Amino acid sequence: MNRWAERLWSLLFLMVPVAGVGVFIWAMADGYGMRGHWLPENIDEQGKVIDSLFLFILGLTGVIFVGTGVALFWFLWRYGAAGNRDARVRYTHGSHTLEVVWSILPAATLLFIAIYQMDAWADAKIRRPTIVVNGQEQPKPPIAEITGRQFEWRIRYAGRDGVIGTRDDLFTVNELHLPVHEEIVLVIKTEDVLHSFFLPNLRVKQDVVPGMKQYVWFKPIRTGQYDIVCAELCGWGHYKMRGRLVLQTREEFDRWFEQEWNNQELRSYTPPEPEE
Amino acid sequence: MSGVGNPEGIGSQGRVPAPIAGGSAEVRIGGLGRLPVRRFVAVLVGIVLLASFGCGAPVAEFRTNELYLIHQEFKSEPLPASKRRELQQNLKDLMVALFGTPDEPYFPEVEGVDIRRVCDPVKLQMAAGPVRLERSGAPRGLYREHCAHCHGITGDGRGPTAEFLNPYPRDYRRGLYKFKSTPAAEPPTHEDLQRILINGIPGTAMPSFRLLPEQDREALIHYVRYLSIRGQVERTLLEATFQTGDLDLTEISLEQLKAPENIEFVKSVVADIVTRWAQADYQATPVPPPPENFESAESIRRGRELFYGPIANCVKCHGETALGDGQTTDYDEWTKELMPNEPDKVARFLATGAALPPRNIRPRNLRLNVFRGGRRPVDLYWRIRNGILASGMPAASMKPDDAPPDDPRLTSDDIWHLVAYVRSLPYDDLSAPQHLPVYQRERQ
Amino acid sequence: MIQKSHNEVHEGDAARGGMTFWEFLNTYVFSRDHKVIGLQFLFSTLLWFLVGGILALGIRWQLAYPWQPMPIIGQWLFAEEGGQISPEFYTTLFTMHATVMIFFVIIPILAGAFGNFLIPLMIGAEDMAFPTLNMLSYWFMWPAFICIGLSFFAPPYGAGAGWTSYPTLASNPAAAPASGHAQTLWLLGITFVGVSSMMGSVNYMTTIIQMRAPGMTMFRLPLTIWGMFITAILQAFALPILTAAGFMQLMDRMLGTGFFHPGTVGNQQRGAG
Repeated sequence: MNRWAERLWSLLFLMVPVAGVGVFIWAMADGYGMRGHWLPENIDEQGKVIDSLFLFILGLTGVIFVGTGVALFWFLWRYGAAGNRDARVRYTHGSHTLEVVWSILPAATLLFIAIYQMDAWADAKIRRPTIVVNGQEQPKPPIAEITGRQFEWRIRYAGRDGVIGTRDDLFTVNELHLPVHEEIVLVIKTEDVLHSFFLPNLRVKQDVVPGMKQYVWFKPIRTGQYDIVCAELCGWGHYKMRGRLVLQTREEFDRWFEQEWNNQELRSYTPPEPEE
Repeated sequence: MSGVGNPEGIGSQGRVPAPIAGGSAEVRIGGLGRLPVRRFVAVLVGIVLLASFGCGAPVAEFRTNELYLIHQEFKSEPLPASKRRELQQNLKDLMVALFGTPDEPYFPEVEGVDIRRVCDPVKLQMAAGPVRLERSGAPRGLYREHCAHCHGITGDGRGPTAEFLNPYPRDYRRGLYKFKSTPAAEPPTHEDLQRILINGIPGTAMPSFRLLPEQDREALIHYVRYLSIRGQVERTLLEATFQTGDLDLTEISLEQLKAPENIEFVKSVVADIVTRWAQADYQATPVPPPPENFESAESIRRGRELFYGPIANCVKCHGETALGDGQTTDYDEWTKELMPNEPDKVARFLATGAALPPRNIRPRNLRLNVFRGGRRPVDLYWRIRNGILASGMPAASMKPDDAPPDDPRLTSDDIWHLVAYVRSLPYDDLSAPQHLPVYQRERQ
Repeated sequence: MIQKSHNEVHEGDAARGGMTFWEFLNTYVFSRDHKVIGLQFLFSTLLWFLVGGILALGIRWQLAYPWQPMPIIGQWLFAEEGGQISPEFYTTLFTMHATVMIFFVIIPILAGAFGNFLIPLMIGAEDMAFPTLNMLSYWFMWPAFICIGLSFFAPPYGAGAGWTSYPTLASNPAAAPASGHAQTLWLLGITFVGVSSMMGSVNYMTTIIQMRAPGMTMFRLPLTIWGMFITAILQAFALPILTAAGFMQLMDRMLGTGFFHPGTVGNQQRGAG
């Protein structure tokens, strides 16, 4: 291989970190062809915590990725056979110090990430919002129960009494209406197989395991329509298992609820007259 | 593993790696020539090209109702093979002439019916054909995108996914629907079909299509009606051949159909069916408002009495505890056509590949809080009042207006009490004594 | 292949390299020689590699032309749907692609083929520590090949619960599309793969620890052998658990046990259909 070919190959390998970083920057900038490929719009109060964790880990691995790529390039460029025909090879039995360093450093980094994210994890999965009832603090009851089944999300609102499983529950499917600027608690169940309740815009993802009740909570800060998707292969219709999250102001939500409730309680019907 | 003993012709590289030193056992991969790599690549490229041009793409067509044909044969007498072929061909030709193909559906004009209300050609276009987007962004092939893999391209409930579902997907071709507001034998209203598409049928594999744009759902409803009407016409023509003898399709080909009396007959068949569908919207059973005490303890008690009583007799099928275990050996209308109690006949139906193994229809477990046809009080009222003919649930026997007061048949208030009882069941404690067991009831 | 000296050469057997039928069977088919076994693994997995590749072609084709009639086999398989592939066929495609590639290509080609071929050569051993076990580890792949091959012919024509086979999708016979016999056959097949890999890994560990040539200390082992060694340890520790889990799923499906089913077995509502 001649020198030029060597140079070409080393430059080619340099393109790996360059293109890798470029793609990410292009996606972040919402550049042409990569629209909507970066993180979905965040509408959760705590969502930025998850996002910053994501970005932190991305940055960390990015630095390593670029560093490794550049080092590879440098070795290829500097020590190619064609340019170093007369150089003598030096044998080494390794460096103990170096090995200790590259063992300890990643271990310490991993440990740091593990500790650093604990608060975010606890907020997302352990510290359920509370309310005070009769001077006692207790976990906030869920506003609705979502039951995944092949292949839809069945939704059951607690109704006026705030308790799920009573006669004033409102039933609907695939369309979850919620009020904004409130701590929302949902209870997630499944009727058949594993599903995963995923609200990308609220940075909520929770596997639903048969026989278990899972709670998720979040605080949306923007009105609008967003996606509910299933993030766990649940059978042939997994791709169909989509829902719509409609975030409304409290008044709109109450109005919608009232309307749906009246519809659910429809008690008389008069057929239309034939138009002659 | 002939390849191990004789590796000629197997291998991927022309270059043999240098033998690895390893004691006495020397490795030699003998006779590994260069594979005709170029030919291999050419074949691969060919496959990819074929795939990209969609060559070999099948022409979609409606399946003839083979099952009903066999059913008719069992009922009258089997046709000789040549006549059978003749019949199949003539029927197919006639159906194509009347209704077109899955890619180009066509709906016959019927006098006095605005077909845009039954099967709007524009909406049929949206739902029919292969899946694609028009240049304008209008969708095409909605039926094949959302429905066909279960309900089948013919609407016979025999798509590839069908066999994995319980209950099986609906066969539209009888024009029979379970969850509707009209009396048992009538077609469903537009609203009924809309509601099923929006809510799905909980407890079955029919999902909700709430997220589809409304016009897409509308197109699908029109297309489902189209498939139903097409199926019903096909069945009536088969009946005409085997039973009434009005039109013998074993004899009459498409050419001979042009005789005026034949055209008249076919026209009248189509007109009858289409008119019924066009009138369906006005056939919905009115639902009077419930009595004052609806869902009071008194109302629920009365409903419970009726539930176990001799007139409504819900207990017979839904069981002593309303768990749907009263009787479990019946079949629904679609399955009955496969003559499920006669194994050799079932085998004949199954051999066509168009039928699925018969399953019993199960009365609903009323305690699950899952209501397939909807949970609104009006839905339950319709279910009880009109019955679900196709599944064997009979309509309530209603007391006529001029009946004497001691007539035991049901009034609309009675039906409301039954609704109240049914609605209370999911919240009822199953371990509480339901009712005296049958053997004690007589003595009371 | 392996050249062994044979005193007797039967004239009629010249075509078979001068062996009797039984010698041939012993040497090439039910061989205890690590190199033959390695090659057996190699060529069987290459065949499966082809199968996996064809399945991948199907997946990619669907992604490239969603909802379009499938060329060539569409008309044959999906006439009732206008030739486009059904959703459960897609899950079947990627499940079987992953299964074939992981259990029938990556594992047997890296561990089975290269491990068998290279370990004795690179550590200076005569053969594997347990030649018969080694032979069995190859032949235990065959029931797996047959089971998984058959699962393509049982509805839904290939397992469809993902290669991870998560319960309850994989273990509940009422969950579509894992409801057919394909998933049962798949689980049976994977049980055999598990057993085969365990036999292999025991052999590799023992060979590497016990049978190194004099002077070949652990720290003079080539890196490849270290890799194989670690792989074998992982296999020996992970596979019994995975195989047991797969077997439990199998029992849930076939014997009505409830390892993965809370409350009742199966889905009440589906069952009440």
